[in-house]
Parts: sequence; C-alpha cells; structure tokens
Amino acid sequence: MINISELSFTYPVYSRGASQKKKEVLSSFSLSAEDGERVLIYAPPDSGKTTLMKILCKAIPSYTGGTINGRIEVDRTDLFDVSGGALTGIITYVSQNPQEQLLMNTCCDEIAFPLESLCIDPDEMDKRIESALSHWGLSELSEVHPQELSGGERKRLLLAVTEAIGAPNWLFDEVFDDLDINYKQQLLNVMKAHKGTIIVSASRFLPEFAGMFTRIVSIADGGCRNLSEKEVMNLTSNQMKVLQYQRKMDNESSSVLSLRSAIVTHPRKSVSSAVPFTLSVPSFSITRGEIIALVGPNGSGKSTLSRVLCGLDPLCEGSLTVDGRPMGQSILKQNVGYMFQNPDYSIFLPTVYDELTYSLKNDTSVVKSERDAAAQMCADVFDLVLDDNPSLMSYGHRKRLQGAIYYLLQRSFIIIDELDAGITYQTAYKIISLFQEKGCGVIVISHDAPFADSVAQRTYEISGGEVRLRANR
Amino acid sequence: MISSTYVAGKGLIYHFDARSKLLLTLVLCIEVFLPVSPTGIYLLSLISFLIALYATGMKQALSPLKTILPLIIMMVLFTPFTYTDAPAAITAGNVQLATTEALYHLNLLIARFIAITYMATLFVWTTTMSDIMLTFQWYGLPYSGALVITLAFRFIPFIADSFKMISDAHSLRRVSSDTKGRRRSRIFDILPTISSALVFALKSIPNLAATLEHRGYSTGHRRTRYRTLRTKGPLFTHFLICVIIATSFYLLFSL
Repeated sequence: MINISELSFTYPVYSRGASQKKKEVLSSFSLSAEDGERVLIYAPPDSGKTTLMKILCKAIPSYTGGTINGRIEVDRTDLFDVSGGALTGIITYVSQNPQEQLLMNTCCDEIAFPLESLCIDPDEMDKRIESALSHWGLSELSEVHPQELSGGERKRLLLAVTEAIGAPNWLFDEVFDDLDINYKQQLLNVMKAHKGTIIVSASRFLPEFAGMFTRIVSIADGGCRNLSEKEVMNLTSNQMKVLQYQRKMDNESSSVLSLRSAIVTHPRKSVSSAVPFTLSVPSFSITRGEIIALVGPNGSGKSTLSRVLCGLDPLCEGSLTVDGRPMGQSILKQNVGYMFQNPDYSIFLPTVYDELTYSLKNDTSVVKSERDAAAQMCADVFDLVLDDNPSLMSYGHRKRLQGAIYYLLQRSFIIIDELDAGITYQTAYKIISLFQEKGCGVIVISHDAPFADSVAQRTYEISGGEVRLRANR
Repeated sequence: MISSTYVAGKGLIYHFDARSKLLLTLVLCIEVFLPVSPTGIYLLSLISFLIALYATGMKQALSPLKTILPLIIMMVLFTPFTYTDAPAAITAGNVQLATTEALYHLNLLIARFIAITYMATLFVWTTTMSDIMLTFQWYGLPYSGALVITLAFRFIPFIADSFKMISDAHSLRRVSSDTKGRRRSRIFDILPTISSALVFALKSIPNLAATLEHRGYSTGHRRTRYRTLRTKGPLFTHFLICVIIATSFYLLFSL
C-alpha cells in the first residue's frame, strides 16, 4: 500500500536557462494505492513522473537535494523515518534507464546482490535466481556482463531482480519502453498476478494497457488528476492520426540506400556457451523521403544493423551502396545520421545554442549570422529554448534536442532508435514528420507495433537472425 | 569495446583454483625481476603467450601486445641511450644506433614486460570476477573493499563503452568527410568526447549510490553469500602445483 499526501517537491536550481527557473515539480500531490491496485501515471515528459518514482524509493532528495514537503507511507511505514536500505524488501523501483541501476559484473550477481542484503538463505537464493532468469529469458546470459546486454535485455534483468526480491510494492518508470511484444505481455501477466501495489509511469498509452489498470492518473501543474481510460484512449487515438495524415513519398529525390547479402556478427565475450550473435541481411533498402520501420525482439540486432548502416561499424560480408555505388564508412557517416536511443551520447555542450551550432561552426561556408538564424529556426521548430542547459532538461526535451541536431546536419537518411521511448506520440510523430518534410529517408526502430505501423510505409522485421521485409498488414 | 575482464575459453588454466592462480601469478611476476637467466624470462614470456593463444584464440591473445605496444616502442627508442659503452651492434653510417649491451638489455626488458603483462592478463581473463573477489576476500580483503573493486570492474567497461558511443555520436555530427579535416577534427573532438564521458561518469555517481542503498547495501549490515569458491580437487593439490611451478622455474633458471 502506498499513500502519498500533499507532496510538494522543488529541485535546487543551477541553470540560467529561461525555461529552467525554480518551480515546484510536484505541488500538493496526493495519491493513495491499496494492495492489489495497479495505478498508471500517464503524463507527458517533464511532468514529474520520474521525480515522484525516485522520491518513493528515496533516491530523491537524498542524492539530488531539493525541498520536499508532505507525507508518504509505504505499507504504513513513514518513508521519511527510514533509510533507503530499509525499503529493499518493501518497495522495488525499475528505472527508465536500466544502466543506472546495474551494479554487478554478471546478471546472476545482479539478482543475488539485493537477496544477499535481505539475508536470504543461499539455497533459496539459488532457486529465486534460477527462476527469475528463466522467466525473463536470461538463463543463457546468467554469467554475461550487463554491459554486453541489449537495452531490452537490461530491462528484463531489472524485472528479474524485482521478481526475485518479491517486494509487495513495485514502481515501474516507463518500464514497457525497451521490451518487445512478448515480454510486454509477460510483464502485464506478472503485474496482474501481483498481489501488492504497482505504480507504472508512462508517457504513452500503449494498446496493451487497455483494461490493465485499476486507476489512471495524470500529473497536471504538479498535482494529481484522475483520468478515465476512455479519455486517455481518445487522446492517444488523436495523436496517432497526426502522422497518418502526413504519410507521403517524396518522389523528387530518389536516392536509395541498399544493403545486400550482408552478414553481421559479434560474439558475447564472457560466455563461451552462448552462440555468437549473427544477423543475416539478404536485402534491405530505403529511398529518400520514405519512412520504414525496423522491428524485432530484444537483442535481435536492430542497433547492430543500424551501426553498420550509418558507417560506425564495418560490414564484414555483403555490399552497402547508395544509388548503386559502394560507400566507405566515412562517406556513410556524412549521409546517414543515427539518433541513438540514449540522447546523452550526442549532447555535451552547456547550452542548446552551443549544441545546435557546434557542427555548423566546422563548416566554413556558413557565417555566424546564418548559424544563429539556423539555430533559432531549429529551436522554434523543435520547441527548444536556446539558453537552456541540456544536462538539466527532461529526457523528452533532450530527445527533441538530439533530433534538432541531426535536423540541421542535412543527412539524406536518418535512423531513429526507439524515438517513442519516454516521449509522447505527438512529439515522436512531429520529429519524424519534420525529417520526412526535409526529404530524409527515415528508419524508425520501435517495439511499439501500432506506432511503427502508423508511421512506416514498409516494415523490416528481424526474426531468427534474419532481416526480412514484412508483408503489409 | 571492453565489456568484461573475463574471457571465455578453454584449457586447464580455467580449472585451476583462483587462490593458487593468484599466488602463482604474483610469485612468477616477482621471479621475473630476480637474477634469473634471460632464457628463463624468454621462455616464461613465450609460455604465457602460448597459454593465452590456446585459451582464447589469436585475436584475443594479441590484444595485450597491442595495448603495450606504445610502451615497447618507447623502450626501443630510449634504452639504447642508456648503454653506449659496448661495441656497436646497429649503425647508420658513422652513427652508432645501439650497442650489443643495449640490445641485450632491451630484449630482456621487453621480455620481462611481456611476461608480467601476459601472466596478469591470464589471471583476469581466466577467472570470473566473482571468483577474483572471493579470492581477495579469502586473502583478507573486507567485503566493502571487494565491492569497490567489483563496482570498478562494472563501471570501467560502462564508461569505456559510453566513451565509444559518445565518440561515435560525435563522429556522426561532423559536417565533412575530407581526410585532412577529419584528422584535425578528430584531435579537436577528443576534448568534448572526454568531457562528455566525464559528465556521463559523474552523473552515474548519485545513481550508483542511490541504487546501492535501494538494493539494501550498508556498511556493517549482515549479508548472506550467494557465491562460494569452488575448486576441482583438493585445494592443497592446487597450491602444491603452484609451488612446484614457481620453485622449478627459479631452480632451473636462477643465476
């Protein structure tokens, strides 16, 4: 049982950015969830979902600072009276970014660590670890270093940790984002069977959510607002319509990026038992102005294929051409952009303006006034404020900034890895349509099948180690 | 990408007890610097390399050499200046580049360096991180110390991986592909890439602390143990083999 009453929270302010002035993230927020309740917090990025989750597991304000007021009770324990460590067996939090919660050097040890803290008997621990690994499809990877896992596998590992601990209260922050359709369904089944309290945060209402939650709430101006499922579904459906209307082909520019008879491999170094990863690509192509989707289960090789397509990794076997001409890695990098799943890899400068003009500064043909104008135009289009500090922006804002950076780079093709994760459909559609309007060929990687179907003209599916063009639905 | 110190492979070395393996590694590393014959040192380097080759394959076995190559080059460049009084072995016209004594010491230095590199590398390649930690604890390291090392081995690959991803992201943001500009921009890109990786690493500190607390870790708090060190055969036999190898090497090659 989780009982939050009159919770208010304000972060300490470090930035000079115009949109980052001191404000209450949560303001008199009250929410009560009984045992057996599954509550969905459905709200756009930057509304305070992650902050609320982290307050509930005591990561905030202990490790961030900030001003907090109100009262929180978890299973009748006052949260402000106990240390975070005392909550291990009471509440388990799964972060939006699994990297930040992985501590150990093998999957097996990752699950064992909290169980050791709870002084679980080694034999019982063994059973729980084996069961959790098997349930989340990680048995073969039990001795693998978490750094060798794909994004989805990491998230499954955290879910395996959650299952092994068996705490009554679960907090899931955008937990469905990296999971493929099978594991989404599995998680929903696990949630249905759970007798304790579950709070899930999401920026998008996935079709699988229908009928799943006992309550849906939103965060509006820092407070809690109840929503009906019908309201949420109408909102989602309206967002989905936006890009379907804009789906079109740019026939004027017909540059084609093709990959033929290709093989991509990479072994898992730390276990000899696991079969080395191999991906076969008999035929793959995209034309400028076209939007295609690349879908497949966790760890199937979507990101690996993307790295080859944009010239970051060499192609071992087969041919990669643009308009029939073989392309070297350095030329590919100038033609194909890759928006990483994690926007922070691309962002490193102190302001949005610096980020947007960084690459243009190396182009001697662009003078300062042109650079400034381009940055302003881009900021307007992507709803960004030039003075803002990217490090202090929300995940959704950073994702938009990442899009804006590539928008200015004028690439012929752009690969967008899990764009829909952590942002609203509306924002995802907007970013894709902006690239399409520029005549870019857009490859969208997503685990959200309805989203992928709604944006893509064609879909490539990775299954059984092979990339195939999927027949139209 | 550095993803883990452990490398799956084959050979008896994987079945050798981690405690005796650590002891043997340390003793042999010390013996390399004792007065032993060059033949012994060359042989030890060669055997270490061959074990690595058999256990992990050519590509993996060569990777430590690649890592230490810059240091070997430095040795090749600077050792000849230290030994100039012996007869010339390599000359360019009238200029003496290296004496016989310089070459003798250079070979010995490189062999020693390769031997200790491969012996230490073999230990971490063929022992799982959990066994390494349990070994350290068996030798008296407290749990909190072992945890710090575990976290280091978790986060070094994470930061190295992040550095690579950041570097890749930066390379995709370049506006031109001309070779000259690329070389220059590569040099200029190092600073932002390093600063990004640093920001990434710094950002992970509060997350790490919060997760440790969330997973119930606190100093002095009692914990059960999931892992225990398991040895094939009696531990005494493993230590005996270790002593026999170290003693035989010293007796055979000591000067």
